[in-house]
Amino acid sequence: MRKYLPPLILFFLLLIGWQALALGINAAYILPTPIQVIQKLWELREPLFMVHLPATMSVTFIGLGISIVLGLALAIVMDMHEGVRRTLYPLVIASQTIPTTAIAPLFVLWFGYSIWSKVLVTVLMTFFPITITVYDGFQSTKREMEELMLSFNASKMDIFMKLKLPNALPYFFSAIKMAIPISIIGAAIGEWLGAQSGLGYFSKRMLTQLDGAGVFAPIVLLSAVAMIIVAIIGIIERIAIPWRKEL
Amino acid sequence: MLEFQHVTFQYDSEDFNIIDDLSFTVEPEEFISIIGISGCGKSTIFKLTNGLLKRKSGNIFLNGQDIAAVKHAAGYMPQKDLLFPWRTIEKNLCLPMEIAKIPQAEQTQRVADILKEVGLSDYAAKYPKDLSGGMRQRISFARTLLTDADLLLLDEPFSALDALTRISMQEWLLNQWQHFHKTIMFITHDVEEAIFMSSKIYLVKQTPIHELEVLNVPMDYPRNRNDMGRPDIVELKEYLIDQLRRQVII
Repeated sequence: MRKYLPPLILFFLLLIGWQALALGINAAYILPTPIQVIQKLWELREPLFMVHLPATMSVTFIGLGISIVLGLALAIVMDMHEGVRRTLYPLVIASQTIPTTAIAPLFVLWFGYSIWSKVLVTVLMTFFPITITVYDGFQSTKREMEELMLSFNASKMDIFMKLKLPNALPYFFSAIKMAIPISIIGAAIGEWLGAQSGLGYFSKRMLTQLDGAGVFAPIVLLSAVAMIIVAIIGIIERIAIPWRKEL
Repeated sequence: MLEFQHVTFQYDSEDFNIIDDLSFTVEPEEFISIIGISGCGKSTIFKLTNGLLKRKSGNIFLNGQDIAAVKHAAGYMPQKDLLFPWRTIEKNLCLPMEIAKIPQAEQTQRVADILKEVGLSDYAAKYPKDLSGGMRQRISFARTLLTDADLLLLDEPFSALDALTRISMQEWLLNQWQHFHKTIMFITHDVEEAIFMSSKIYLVKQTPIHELEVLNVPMDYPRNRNDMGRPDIVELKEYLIDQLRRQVII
């Protein structure tokens, strides 16, 4: 419990600072106080939790799922074939130079207000950290362990399945923990630019009504959800790979 | 049993042959040590023997057959135990057998037998992190035995252990060698260790390695540490130290 004390203290100090600043500005449409945001969250709990949060989470999880499959596939082929790595790597990097907010409206043109325009934004933002981190995990395999496997007459597939894959698991979990907040941001950006539901869409709608607390409420909700999911992944990680520090 | 015939090898990154026209033999069920200074090419001899490196020229025979054609020619035990932290001790021991596609039931039986032999039956379900350095090396040795090779290549297996554990591991390894009737090639920097363990010492006198000076250790098995103070053994020790010191550049 002691280890959680410093972040908790910092969190409350930031809240106090925010509250003081908002009271000083005294214009809720510019900066609402944290108390006003919490009040708004409670007032709007039904549309926020029953309609918009599930919509955003659908986009997040579908996008994240596609990114995991795509990222793992790319990392595996890049690790197995040097030629493929040389071909794909620049393309993967190039994909990250595309300004998401500029290209997202184009996705709305292609896919309309359906879920897929938002999913595409999420995938574009999240497959990269998964690919690169997992690829680094495969590459971090100790040469001497590979040599040991070779001395047992191990095939390339044996080395991949019995050594590289488990060795890359900690990297995979790190990638997922990185990708979750990014995928939520991706979903929210997609909704902000064109949607009929979702927390990003809701936040934009509140902005047009100059409702500062209404803008902040879905953002706070998104942050809280991201932290909860990352914490759950952290617990799964501790159970699944208790040997992480032994590598 | 093992025969190097005019073997030459060069690393791509170097402009000379680190092994140059080297010939030597090791007899069946012998325990020999290769001793030499760091970086002299001792481990290269092992990597050529177990096929991790391809020789430039020459031949390596095991029981009269080209070693490249022999299945499970040599079991290799590295300096670090290299136990996989995500596998239990039992699963670590199964690794060479899984690769050799040995049926699961046989794997389980052989692991149980070998754990009994190395005195670690209670640790089958534990993870490597739960074991001491000496225990881990015993498991690493057991894994090497499970490769089914008659020739075992042990590359400084005790160098990371503390002095007391190292002494008991040396005695333990000699017992295992006598029990399993394997041929052991043992790399070490430690002159005393080489003398105590082996029947012959192959001394690397220079790099590139053209030849190995073979020195017989005039002690019978089972070994007794008190014999290490005998005048002929002290003389051998001093000779080895003198030869190695000549090569050391500070």
